[in-house]
Amino acid sequence: MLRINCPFCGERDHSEFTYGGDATVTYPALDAPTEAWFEAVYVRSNPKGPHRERWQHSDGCRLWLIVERDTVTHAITRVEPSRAVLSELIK
Amino acid sequence: MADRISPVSQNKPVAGFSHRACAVLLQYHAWPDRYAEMARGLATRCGLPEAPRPGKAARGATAGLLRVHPQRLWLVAEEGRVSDHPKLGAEIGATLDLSHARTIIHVSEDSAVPLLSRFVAIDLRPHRFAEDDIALTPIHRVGVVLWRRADGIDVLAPRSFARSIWELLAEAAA
Amino acid sequence: MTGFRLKSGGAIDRGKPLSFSFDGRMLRGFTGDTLASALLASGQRLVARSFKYHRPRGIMGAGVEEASALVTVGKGAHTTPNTLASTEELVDGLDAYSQHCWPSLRFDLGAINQLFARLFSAGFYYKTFMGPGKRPKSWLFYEHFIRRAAGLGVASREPDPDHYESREAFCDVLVIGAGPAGIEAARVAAEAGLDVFLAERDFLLGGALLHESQPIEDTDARDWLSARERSLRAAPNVRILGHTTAFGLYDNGVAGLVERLQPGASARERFWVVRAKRIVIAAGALERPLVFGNNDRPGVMLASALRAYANRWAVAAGRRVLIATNNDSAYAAAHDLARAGIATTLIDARENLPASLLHKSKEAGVELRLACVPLRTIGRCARAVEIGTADGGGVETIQCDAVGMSGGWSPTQHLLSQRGVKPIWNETLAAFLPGATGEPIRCAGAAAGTWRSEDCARSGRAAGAEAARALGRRAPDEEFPGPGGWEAPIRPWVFGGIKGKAFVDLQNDVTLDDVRQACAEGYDAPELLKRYTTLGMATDQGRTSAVNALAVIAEARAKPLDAIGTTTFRPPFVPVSIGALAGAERDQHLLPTRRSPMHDALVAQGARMLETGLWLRPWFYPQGEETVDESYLREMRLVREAVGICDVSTLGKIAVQGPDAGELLDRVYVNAFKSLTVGRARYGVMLRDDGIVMDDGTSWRIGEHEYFMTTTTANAGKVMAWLEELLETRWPDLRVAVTSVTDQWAGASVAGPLARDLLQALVKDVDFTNEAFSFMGVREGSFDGVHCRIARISFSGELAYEIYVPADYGQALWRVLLEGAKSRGGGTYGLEALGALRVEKGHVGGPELDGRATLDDLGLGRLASTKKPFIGSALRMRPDLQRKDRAQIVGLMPVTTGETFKGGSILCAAGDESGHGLGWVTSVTESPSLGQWIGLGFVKGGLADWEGRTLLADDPIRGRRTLVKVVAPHFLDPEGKRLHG
Repeated sequence: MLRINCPFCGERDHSEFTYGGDATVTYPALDAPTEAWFEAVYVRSNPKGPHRERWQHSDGCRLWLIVERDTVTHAITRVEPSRAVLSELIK
Repeated sequence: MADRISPVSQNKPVAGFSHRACAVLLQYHAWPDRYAEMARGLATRCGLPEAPRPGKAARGATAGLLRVHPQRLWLVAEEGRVSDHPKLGAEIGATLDLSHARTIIHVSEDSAVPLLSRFVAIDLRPHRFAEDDIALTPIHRVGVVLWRRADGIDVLAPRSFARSIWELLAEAAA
Repeated sequence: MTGFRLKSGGAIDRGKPLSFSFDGRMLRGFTGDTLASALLASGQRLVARSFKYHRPRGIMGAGVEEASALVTVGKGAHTTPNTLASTEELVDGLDAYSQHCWPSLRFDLGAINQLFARLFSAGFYYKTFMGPGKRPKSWLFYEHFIRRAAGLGVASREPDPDHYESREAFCDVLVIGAGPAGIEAARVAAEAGLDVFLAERDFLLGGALLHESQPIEDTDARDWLSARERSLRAAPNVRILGHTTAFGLYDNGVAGLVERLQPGASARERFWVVRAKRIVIAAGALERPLVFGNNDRPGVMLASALRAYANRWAVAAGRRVLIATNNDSAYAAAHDLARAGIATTLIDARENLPASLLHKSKEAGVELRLACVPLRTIGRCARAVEIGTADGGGVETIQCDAVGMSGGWSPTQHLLSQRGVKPIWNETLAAFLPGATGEPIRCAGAAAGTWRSEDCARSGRAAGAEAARALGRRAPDEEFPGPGGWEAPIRPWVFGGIKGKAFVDLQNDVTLDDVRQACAEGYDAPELLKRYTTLGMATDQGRTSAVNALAVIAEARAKPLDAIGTTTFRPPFVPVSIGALAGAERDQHLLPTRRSPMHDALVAQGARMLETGLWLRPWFYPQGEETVDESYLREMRLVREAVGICDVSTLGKIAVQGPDAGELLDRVYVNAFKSLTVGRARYGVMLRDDGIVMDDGTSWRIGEHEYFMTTTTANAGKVMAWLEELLETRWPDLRVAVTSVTDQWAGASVAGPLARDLLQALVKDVDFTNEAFSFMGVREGSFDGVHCRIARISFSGELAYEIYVPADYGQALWRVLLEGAKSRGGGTYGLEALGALRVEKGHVGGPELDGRATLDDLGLGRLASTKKPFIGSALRMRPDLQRKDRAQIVGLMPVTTGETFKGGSILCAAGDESGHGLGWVTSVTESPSLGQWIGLGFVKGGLADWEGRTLLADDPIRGRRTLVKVVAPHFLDPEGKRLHG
């Protein structure tokens, strides 16, 4: 059972969250060429070690979060809201 | 005027459980740079020194405010009408009537912690979840809002799941 | 008859006798007994038959180390097979049965398997059924008998009548095990002010102290225990759970435990999920058997078990006992038995011992023989033991009626190993000790390899203090004692002159020869050996066999034991009932149920409900004895000819609010919404990033800065999360709030030529004439004081509206709509009719939006805006999604009127039924308006290649073949005259 420290709600079981993919991907503009979209949608690296990924606190506050998790040990080192501006509002 | 019928009105009464009326549930959502302003305004309207922080509710004379999201406050009242309350200007945020979207199941003090601890993965003991603490968390895979009151815990359940949650809790309490 | 109750002593209450039965025989015991101790006291030695060879077995342990004495408790629906007699608390009226023997425990025909022992050796399954017997059919034939011949208990097939509960708990320190180490760890942590959870498998606290005859810290062991237990139970910050086994440790300090509740409690078992900041594993250590011939006979047990039965339960396993050992620990057992008046001989594999041990044995009256090992047990139930030197010489037979064996000790650090922490082999102690970990878990006491009670207590205190300091509290300075505590070193692994079957894994009947044979055949790595011989795969998961097996492998490979490795440790540590894990989530509570606001009214009306995902939706409304097929056809006619009402409350509904609401919709939908006028609705399709269709629905502009979006029922959650993701991760600057309002609104569709008439009578403050309220318009109004929102939208192709009211008024709305419909010759229609109506109109639905189809595949290519980009607009133009030979939507009609066909059929060219065909059928229905069956499907090349031509709809699984003609999918009113009227 992973415990994820939602910045708004506090530490919760991972079952309250939904995994949302690789947070290191930047999606291009909607009118960017096909190649840029192909890269963003299909091409992924598979890093061993700390990795930034997205989780949504779907059964809680519904915030989309960036979670830094070690893909080998599952240790979670950092959790923050996707929008930096929200960190201010949470204080 | 037609009658409001709650989804748990048909459920047999169970000791320790009751349905609490949700006359008004308004969601106030502010754009990030306007949140402080919205929060101040609502707190003043409710007669509160300030709006509640994350994980908290604050009760005024006629309505309570729940901080359910960094940008959102829910105004909950057991009486009155939606029209009694203000609407935000579009430059500040958005107001949404959710008065029918949640059904409030009240679990009384004696049963609240042992019963809800069977289904909720949060430390609900009084010293860890005190009066006017709130938590957004699932019961039986359904996201609810828990609100510790003076006399127990309110479960603000999504209306479509309310009867299912009531039955699950009632059977467990039996 | 060998075992008997000693006249005095024991932690049993002789004032509270209990009666129980074993194989129908009524027996007596006392409160505080286990089933095993009571059986032994009654003289019952034969208790079970072994898994493969059906060898007679008895009780060999006094706790979870028991490998042979598996019995079935209870009958009928309450049958609990494979219960360890040694951990089962005796309760009044307990009925236990031997298992896996026929016709009886004493005369088990299954024992005939022993004659074929050479066939049943290691790797049996992999070596037999070769050659003539190789074909699957032969295996399936023999398997039937093999399954009956080998096995343990049989589970009931009746529904489980018991209840199970779950509990979520939180604490600062979880202490697992309430022996001397656990009790001290809990005490120190509690005194430091921490929130402590103490779990103990047994029904009494104390662990090894319960059978300890020597004082601890200058106090009688029982007095030491009761004083500490009293203060722990009085402490408000300590929760103590007996009958509770920790079976698994998971990430982040989360532990799974199962509590066995007392008979008559609200549930049979309770599954605890405890989330702890620090964990202390004080689970003790388990004794290992010695490997020698017939070491599995009834009467042969672990030396510590002999001691526990004598001291804790006042039961002597025999009158003349032989104990064989290779380490110091058995001496305490021998001394205690001798002092209780039992003739005791102790043989030690070692030669040189400290004088103190020799002296104590002499004082206690134990006959001690050094440099001596057991070679084999004699008798179907032990009546003698052949002993000799390590190389099999100097053979002598010693008469005895009970045998104790001590082959060493294995710290119970399995829970730590479950965390992936490899245990470390300690050669001196011949034991695996806990490895180092960065997690906040500490093993203490015998679980850390300290053998003496006082050292265990110190170890526990140190662990408790460490936990307290780690959490910022003050705690006394206490050092962890080093591992060990014997006066003389152990001499393990004497496998010399053994005769007969020497068991390594008692529960799965794996012998020393089996393990050696497997090694000789190359299966000499622990994971391979395990699977090849099944050693360690029984319900005891190798608790008493694993280390001995590693020693055999080490000998076979001529390598040190720590070079061999271990198998992977996985939860659960002991078997856990599925019921406990399920808790209350079973039967109708397996998943939550979602009900529409109209639910009660629909059920009262006689609707047959259908589970769609979590929702209950009205499927059809049978009148009289109607079948579903008769019903939906009648309901369709109501809609096409008069007016039908349908509950559509389950559709996803999302409030999209803010100055950038229109911009958001423009980006997610393929078509334009920013420019939509207030008071208008529009059908929209949204794609995924990869250009495939995600969902469709209608969005209504209800204000300058507000839209009301609808989605399909199935995708409501997905779309909601998608919009939230886009706003938070890609477009954080958009000023939009999105909120699910699915539950806020009850909705009904009102469809048919008389729909306008019905609604006008009901909602008097809205003008429903075609001029005032055209197709795709949106109006707000009220009826009976209730606010309602109405859009002129049609899924059925008829003149139709969707009317929404706040959910608590849903039943009131339904009542008036129903009256209005009935009085106009119409009525209700359900999902079946709803689906059929939309097929007639060629509208795509769930079966077509299958996650593979593009906009063009669905014939909706023209919907895509050319003026603005949108999600998916780039990748939908990639070559593979633009191919003309993609499977595209078509309408289908059987060539022969009156023939039917089914969704899921494969479409292929007639006469060429091969490969994957050319397409597939997605939706079919009978069409009363057209007088025949129709359907939708996908075909490579679509209408362009196939319109007017014939295909075969092939349904090989259901054995049907129908010739169908390909037509345009809009079967009815293609110009939409009814829609716009």
